[in-house]
Amino acid sequence: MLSSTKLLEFASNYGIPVWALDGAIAIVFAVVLFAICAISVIINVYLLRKISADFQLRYGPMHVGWHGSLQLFADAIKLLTKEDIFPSNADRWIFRLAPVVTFVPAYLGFLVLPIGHGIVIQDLNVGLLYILAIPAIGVAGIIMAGFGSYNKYAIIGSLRSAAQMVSYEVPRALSIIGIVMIAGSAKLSSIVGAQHVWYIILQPIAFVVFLVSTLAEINSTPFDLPETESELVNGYYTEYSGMRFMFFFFAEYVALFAAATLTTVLFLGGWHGPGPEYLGPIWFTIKTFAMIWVIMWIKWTLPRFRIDQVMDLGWKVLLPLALINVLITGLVMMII
Amino acid sequence: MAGRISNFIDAWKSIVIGHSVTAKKLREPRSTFFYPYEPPKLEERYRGAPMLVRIAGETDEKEGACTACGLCAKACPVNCITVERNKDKEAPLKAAVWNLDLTRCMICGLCAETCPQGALKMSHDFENAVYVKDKLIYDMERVLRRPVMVKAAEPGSEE
Amino acid sequence: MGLIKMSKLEEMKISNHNLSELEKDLALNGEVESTEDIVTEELAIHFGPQHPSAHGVFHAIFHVKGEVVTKIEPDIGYLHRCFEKIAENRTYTQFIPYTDRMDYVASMTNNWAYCMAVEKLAGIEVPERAEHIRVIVGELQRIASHLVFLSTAGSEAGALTPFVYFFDEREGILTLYEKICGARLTYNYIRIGGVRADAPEGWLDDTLAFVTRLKKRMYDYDRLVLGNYIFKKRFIGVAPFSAEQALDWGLTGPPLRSTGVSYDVRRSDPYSVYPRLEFDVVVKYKGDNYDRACIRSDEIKQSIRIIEQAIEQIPEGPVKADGIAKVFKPAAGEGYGHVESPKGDLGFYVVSDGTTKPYRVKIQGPSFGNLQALPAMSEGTYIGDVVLTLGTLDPVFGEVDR
Repeated sequence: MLSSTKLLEFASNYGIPVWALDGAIAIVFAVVLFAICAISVIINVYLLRKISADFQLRYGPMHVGWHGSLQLFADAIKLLTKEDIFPSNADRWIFRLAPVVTFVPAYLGFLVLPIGHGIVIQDLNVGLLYILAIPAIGVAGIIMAGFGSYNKYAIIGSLRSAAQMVSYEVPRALSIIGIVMIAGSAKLSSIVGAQHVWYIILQPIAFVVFLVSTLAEINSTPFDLPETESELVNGYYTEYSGMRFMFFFFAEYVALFAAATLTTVLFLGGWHGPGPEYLGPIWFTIKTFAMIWVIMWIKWTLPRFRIDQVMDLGWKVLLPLALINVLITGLVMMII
Repeated sequence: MAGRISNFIDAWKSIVIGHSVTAKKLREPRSTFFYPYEPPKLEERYRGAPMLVRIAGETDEKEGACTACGLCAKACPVNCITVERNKDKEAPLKAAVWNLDLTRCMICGLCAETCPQGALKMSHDFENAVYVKDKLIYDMERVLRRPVMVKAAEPGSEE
Repeated sequence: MGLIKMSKLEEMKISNHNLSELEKDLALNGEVESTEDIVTEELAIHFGPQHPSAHGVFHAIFHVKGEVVTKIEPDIGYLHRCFEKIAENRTYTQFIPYTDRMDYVASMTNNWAYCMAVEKLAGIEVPERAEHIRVIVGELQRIASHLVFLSTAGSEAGALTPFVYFFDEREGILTLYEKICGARLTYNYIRIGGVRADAPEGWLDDTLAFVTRLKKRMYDYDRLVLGNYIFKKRFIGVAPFSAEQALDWGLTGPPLRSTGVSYDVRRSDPYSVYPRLEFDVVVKYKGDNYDRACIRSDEIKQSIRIIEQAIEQIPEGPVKADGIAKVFKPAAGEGYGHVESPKGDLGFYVVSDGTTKPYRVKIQGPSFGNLQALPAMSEGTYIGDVVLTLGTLDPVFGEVDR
C-alpha cells in the first residue's frame, strides 16, 4: 500500500514478497515518526518553558546547555533513574498499562498528517475521522490511571477527564463538518489542497469552536480540570513518578503538538505558503509553532473553569455554535 | 437574548484584554537574576548572621571591640549567645568565650541593637548552609573571621 | 486547639445549597426516578496538610458527593508553637520577633499591634514621626499582603501568570522593607515606644515612587484578574455570606466588610495618626467570593492614598520615645491594643504583674476567626469553589495556630 511502483519492481526483481516490503516500510516509518515526535516534544517542552518564562518575567532554564536547551535531557535522565513506585493498594497491571495507553494514541494521530505536498505516511480517505477518533482513545488511559492508582484525587481527576473529553468530542467533530462540506473530502491532503483561502477566514466560527474544544481535549487551561493543582494535587497522575510520569508528561506534549498540527492543517492552510512547493514543510512547521505559541499564550493568561461550567460551555454554547456554523455553511453553499 | 449576546461579547472582550496585558508584560525586563552566579544586591541595613567587629588597625586576628559585657546574651530571645569575660588580669575587658549558636539564632537583630560598644553587628552573610549542624555553632574566632566588615568601633552607631 | 466544633452548622440555613438543585436536576432526567435509585457513596477526601493550595498546613476532610462538597471537617493546629506561653517567659522587647512569625505575610502589623498593647499598658507616648513611619510601613504591609492574596486567588483559579506579576510587585515592597529594617520577611522593626530606626535617606521618595508606579499597574492587573470573564464566573455568587451570618461567626477584616458591615479598626477605634488621614473604608454588599476578592484590590488603592498623605505630612523629630530601656518593668495592669491588620482585627491583650516579663499575653488573630466560617460558607459548593473560598478568607496558618 505504501509501495510505489519502483519499489514494487525492486521487490519482484529480488523475490521479496510484498507483505515483507510493506512491513519493513511500516517499521521504518514508525521509527521515523517516533523520532519526529520525540524531537518535537523536546522542542515543545523547551519552548513551553521559555514561553512561560517570557510571560512571567523569568528566564526559564538557563544552566544546562546553551540557554538551558539540554535541560529536558537532564530531566529525562533524572526521571528514568528514579525508583519505580507502586501505591500499596494499586491495581498493578492497570497502573502499569495506563501511561502506555495514554501515550500511544497520541502518537498515532500523526500517521495521517500531511506535512507537505504529498509528504504523508498514510493518506487515508477518512483521515479526518481517524485523527479525531484515535487520540480520543487516550482518555481510556487516563481513566485507567485514575482507577488503578487507588487514590481519591486520581479517581476524581480521571472522571472529570472522561466527562470533559466526551463532551468536547461532539462540538469538536461538528465544527469540522463545515470544512468537509467546503473541501468536499475528509482526506486531510485534499482539505489542504483545497485551501487556496485559509479556512480560518471562511470558517471563523468553526475555528473558535475547534480551538476551544481542542484546548479542552488536550487538558490545557482554561480546561485543565483533570489535573487541577489547586484542587486535586495532580489529578489522574498524582501517584505516578519516575518513568511512568514521564510517559504522561510526553503524552501531554505530543497531544499539544498534534492539536497544533491539526489546526494548521484544517484552518491555517497546511503547507501552503509563498515560495516553491518544497518549502511546504517549513511553512507547516512555522504555522504549527505559531499555533503552539498561541495555545501557550492562552494557557498562561486565563484561569480555569469549574467542572459544571465546563459542561455548560461544551453543551450549551459550543454545540449550538457548531450546529449554527453547519447551517450557515450549508446555506451559503446553496446560494453560491 | 440581548443580555446573553452582550454577555458573550463582554466575555470575549475581557479575555482579549487579559491577553493584551500578558503580551504587554513580554516587553518588560525580567525580574529574576542568576543567584549563585550573580550575588544579590543587599541593602546596607540587611540583617545576616551576627558578627563581631574588629577594631581597625589591630594586628591580632582575635582582637575584637567586644568588652564581654554580656548584654547581647541577655537581649537574645532564644539564648543563642554565650559570653564569658576574660579572667586574665592583663586584658580584663575582653571576652574569653563568645559563642553563637546559629541553629537557634533567628536573626532578629536585638543583640546588635543592644551592644553599647557597637562591637556586634549584623553581617551581610546569609549563606549558612552546612552539611554538619556542629558547624553552625560559631566560636569567637569563627565570628571574627567573617570577612565581611572591618570597622572602627563607634559606640552607639547602631540606631 | 483541635477540631473546630461545628455545632452551629446544623441550625444554620446555608443559602447556597446547590445539592438539592442537583438532585432535582437528576430527578427530572427521565431515566432515573429519584437520586435514591443510584447507589452512590460519599467520598471523604483529605485536603492537606500537604496540599498545593492548603495555605500552609491546613488539614480538612471534605465529604464529597460527586463534585459537590457536603461536609467539611477542618482540623488545625499543625503550626502551633505556643506563642502565648512563650510570651510569659520573654521580656516585653524580646517577644517582638515572635510576633513576626505569626502572620508571616504581614509581620509588620503584628509588631505594631503588640507594641501598641504594651504602650497602652505602660502608658508610653509615641513620637509623631514614629507614628507616621508606622502608618507608612503598616499600609505597605497591607498592600503586600493583599498582593499575595490576589496572586494566590488567581493561582487557585488556575491563572499562574498573575501570581508572578503580583509577587514581582511585592518584591518592591520587600526591598523597601529591607532598606528600612534589614529584613524581607520577619521585620522586627516596630519597637515599644517607636520604631527601631529612622527611615534611611531617600526611603520616603522611593516609597512614593513605588506606590505611584503600583497605582498605574493595578489598573492593568485589575483587568487581567478581576475583570476576566472566567474569573468572574468562578467567583461571583459563590459562597455568599450575609451580614448577620458574618457577625455571628465573628468575621473581621475584608470578609466582614464584603457583607456590608463597615467595620474597620482604623475608623471604628482610631489609633496612631489615622484620624488625620483621608481614606475610605471599602465596603461591598454581596459577601460572595468576588466581593471578598475585589475589596482587597480596592483597599490597595486606599492604602496607596494613605501612604501618599502620610509621606506628605511626616514631621521631623525622634522616632523613639525617650527613657525606655530594653528591659523595663511596667506597673501592674493590663493593656489591649488592636490594629486593622490586612487579615482583619488583630488584637493583643497584655497583662503585667510588675515584673520584666508579661504575666499573660492573649492574642486574638483574625485568620482564626475568619477560617471558622469556611464550612458554613462553602458546604454545598463544588470542590473547586471550596478551594477558592478558603483562598478568599485568606487565612495564614502561622496566625491561626500561633
